[in-house]
Order: sequence, then structure tokens, then C-alpha cells
Amino acid sequence: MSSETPAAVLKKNLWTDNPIFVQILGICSTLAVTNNLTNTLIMTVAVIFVTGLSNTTVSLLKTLIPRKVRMIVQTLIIAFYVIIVDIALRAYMPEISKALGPYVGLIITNCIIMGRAEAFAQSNPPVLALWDGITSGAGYMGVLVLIAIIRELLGAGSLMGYQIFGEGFTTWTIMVMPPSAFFLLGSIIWAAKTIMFKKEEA
Amino acid sequence: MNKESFLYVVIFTFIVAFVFVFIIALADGATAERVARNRELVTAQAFLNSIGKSEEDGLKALDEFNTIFKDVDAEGVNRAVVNGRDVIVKQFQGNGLWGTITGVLAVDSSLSQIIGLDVISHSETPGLGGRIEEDWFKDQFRGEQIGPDGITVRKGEGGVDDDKANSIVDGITGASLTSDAMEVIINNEIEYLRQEVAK
Amino acid sequence: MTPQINPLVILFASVFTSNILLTNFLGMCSFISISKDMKSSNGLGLAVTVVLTITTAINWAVMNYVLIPLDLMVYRYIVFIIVIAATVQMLEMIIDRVSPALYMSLGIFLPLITVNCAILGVALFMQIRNYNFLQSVFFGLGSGLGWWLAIMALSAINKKVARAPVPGGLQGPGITLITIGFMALAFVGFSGMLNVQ
Repeated sequence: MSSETPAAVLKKNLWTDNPIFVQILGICSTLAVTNNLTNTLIMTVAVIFVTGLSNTTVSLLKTLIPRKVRMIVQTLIIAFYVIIVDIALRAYMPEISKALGPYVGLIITNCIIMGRAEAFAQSNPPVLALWDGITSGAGYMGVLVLIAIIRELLGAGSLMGYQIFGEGFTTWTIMVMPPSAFFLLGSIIWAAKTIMFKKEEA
Repeated sequence: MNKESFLYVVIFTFIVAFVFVFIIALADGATAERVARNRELVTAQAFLNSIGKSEEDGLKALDEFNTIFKDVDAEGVNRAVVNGRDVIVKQFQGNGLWGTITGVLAVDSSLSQIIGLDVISHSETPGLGGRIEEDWFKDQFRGEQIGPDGITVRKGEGGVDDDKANSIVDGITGASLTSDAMEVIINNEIEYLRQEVAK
Repeated sequence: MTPQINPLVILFASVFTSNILLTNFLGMCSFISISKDMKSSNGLGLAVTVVLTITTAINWAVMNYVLIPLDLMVYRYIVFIIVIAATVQMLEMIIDRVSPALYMSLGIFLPLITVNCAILGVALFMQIRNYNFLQSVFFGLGSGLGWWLAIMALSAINKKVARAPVPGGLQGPGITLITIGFMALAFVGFSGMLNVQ
């Protein structure tokens, strides 16, 4: 497969081929924690970390991995980095680790990471694979952070724990509950696609 | 060696797995002590929160915890003097909707008023039952009078209950089961303490 | 500490009040793409239920008889995933050999399920909540049934939506997600149904 320029990769992963609103991948593991901005930030940084490093590792090992066990080895690599993240969180950020619960482990099944390993890392040099992993994760982070900002701001009147709205603000309870994440995600996809269509027509 | 040969596949997978397992074991070992300390810290902070003395800083929290509570019995009744009052503090555990809810309850020694409570761990649904760990829910219990039947966690009524003397606190919207569970757990704890104190 | 919750309560709760997908956001990827067609949704739902029940049981056994006694819990993510992949692989082979008809309706979905976050998610939840064997099996079964219910409902709604005048940008995943949101909202209405023991 051709080597794309870093700039092209960036644009694709952040916008035109954004993992969430274009490919609709990998939403499971993080939507659950989007009711809180701090947790979402930590989760998405973890995803960027795992995607980047596992992409790099797969790319570095791609000539050595036998075809038969390709999927298993990729899964092992991803699981490895996720466990490292889990250990680090448990030791240095215990409250966040508790709040995130099993969702950190679920990063392993996050379709984006496996998808990038298959689609990109298997056929591109390590440094570019690292960049692709980081930018895919960034595209993912952007959408989820947007959802988290809306949910925490309207659901609790705060952002990252700091009260933004005063006492008089009636919090939107729906924002704290799961359905709001679906609605917001659907709306963001709607907005993004509408903008993309308009750009094509222009 | 042929990359696709059976022998290569086995050796390769073995080596990869070995390297990963090794590094993970290292990381786990290196952080084990820290993780154990974190657990102590959580308990200490929960005890402090329940008596109204929140302390963010880890070291200070452990210090204060050890000063106020001399010998802490994790399962049993702990007495202490806080701001001149005799208090009883006890860790509680009970069935939530999904899993065990663990926390700390502090009451005054005459068992007439709740000093406060804190939630250590739970498995309730995030955003719904999980809100028992939010400050607004826990703070309701501070200074709440304990009635003859204990505390009632009310559900399905609008408005906020501000009355500390009526032994009623507000449940969580959309999480009536977890709210019920908390009521049962706290009242069980109060009942237990009543029997212990009567001895 | 194993919570003293009746396994039937867990079964009921994981279908309705705390649906694995509508409340816990697990199992979404294949959900959104397959839900266009009712027959495949049915097949996938059945496959997910079978796999969830079996793998949760096996993972419980592995966890309690291997990981905990040997203090290997830190590797649980890798072990659970391997158990899931191996179980799915074996199931596929068994079904193919026993009944080609069943394979056509169920077996072809199996590879898709290995990376379904719901399977690993249920195993992890079971571990965190310290369920005993019976509770774990009912949890797996209930989660599968809940997922199946959700995907059938969604594909039925999708058929109607396909004939409605949906704006361009909203077509496809956009309206599907909003539909799921409404379903999730409706399921919140179930939350008063159970009694805590």
C-alpha cells in the first residue's frame, strides 16, 4: 500500500474518515464515561496511547508475524498495552481507575484499534503507523470530549469538577443518564455529515 | 525458517507472550506497594469524610485518620471523639442492585443523629445508581435525625427535602432500586449499632 | 464479597432495567451495522446470547480456579479474551459439524462476536461484582437476551424509519443512534419494576 503523507493521514483521521462519525467504530468503551469530562479525557488519552503504540508495534513486527495467528498476535499486543495503562491508572490515579471501572479493559475490544492495526499498521512503516494511531485516537477524542462537555455542563453544571453554573441553574437530569449520550452522538453525526455534504456540493 | 511453518508459529507466539507477560509482571510488582497504600488511603478518607473532616492530601489524611481512630476495626464498631462529641463509625456492606455497596457510616453515640456517610465502592449503574457517590446525595445525611424506624429514602416526589428532623432524604431520580438498597443497608446498620450499644 | 442477589433478579435486571446495550453502551459496533435486516439481527442476537452464556460461565471457572489461586488476576484481560476467542472458534466448529442448517442461521455471525465489547464487558462486570457461578450464568444469559431484544426492536423500527423522510445528514447512523436513544429512554421506565432483597 502507498505511503501517505502525514498531513493527509491527519486530515483523514480527524475529519473525512473520522473513526466515530464516519466509520462509526469504537463507541462502546467510552460513551459510558462521557457524563464526566475528566474521565473522558483520561479514557481518550489512554485510547490514543494504546492505538499509537500498538500500531507501532504491529508495524515493527509485521514482517515477523505469521499469517495464521495475525489476529491473535494483534489482540495480544493491544491487550498488553491496555494492561499497562490499567496498572498505571490503578497505581497513580486510583479514584479515576475506580470511576472508569471495567471500561478501561474494554479498550481492548475497541474496534478502532484493531481496525487501524489491520488496515494501516500491517502495510505502513512504524513512524507513520504511530502517527496514524495517534491521529485516529485524536479524532475519536474530539467527538467524545465534545459529548462529555455538553453532558457534564448541562447535567451537573460543572466542567472537570469546577462549578461553572451557579446555584440557580437547574441541571438537566437527562444529561446524566445514558440516553443522552446516544442523542448527542446522533446529533453530532448529523451535523458532521451535513457539513461534509455541503462541502461536496460547494 | 519458514514464517508460516508450524514450528515458527509456536515459537513466535511463545516468545511474544513471554515478553509481554514478563513486562506486565514487572510493572505489577513495581506498583503493588502503591496500590496497597491507595486502598488504605481510600478507607482512611472515607472514615474522615463520614465525620465531616474531608482531607484531600493523602499523607495528611492518613495522619489525621490515625490520630482520631486509634485501633481501627474494619468490620466492627469504632468509637472516637470529634469536636467534643462521641461518635460511632462503622464500615458497612450490603446488596446494591448490581453488586455490593461498601461505605462508612458515622452516627453520634446516642444513635439519634447521623453525622455523615461516605461510599467506598459500588457497582451501580453509572449516571443512575452510581450517583450515590455524589456529594449532594451523601451530604443529605449530615445531621439527619434518626427516627424510630431509621431513615427513609423517598422517591417519586418532587422538590427537595431540607428538613433534617424528619428522618427523610431524597432518593436518586431514575434509580429507585439503588435508593431502596441504600435505605435498607443504612437501616440495617443502624439496627445493628442499636443492638451493639445496648449490650 | 459475593452480593446476595437472586440470580433471577439479575436475569430480569440485565434484560430490562440495566440493559447491556441501552444502559451500559456495550456491543454497539455490530449492533448498528447489522440492525438493518431483521433476519440477520435475529441470528446475531441468538449467537450473542449463546456465546455470552457459555463464555461467562467458562470465564468464571477460569477466574476462580486458575487466576485467583495462582494470583494471576493482573492478566485477566488477556486470559478472558483468549477464552472468548477459543470458545467462539470451538462453537463454530461444533455447529458446522453438527448442523449445517444451524450454521447458516447462527454460525456465520460467530467471528463477528469475538471482538464484540459486550462479551468481554460482561466477563469484566462479573469479575468486579464477585458473582458466584449461578449469578454469572444468569448474568450472561440475561445480558444476551437484553441485547437480542434491543437489536430486534431496533431493526423493526429501522424498517419504518427507512420509509420516512429523514434529512440527508441524518440518514444511516445518525437516525439509528437517535432511535437507540429513545429506546434507552423508554427502558429507563422499567427501573421501578424490581424489588431489592
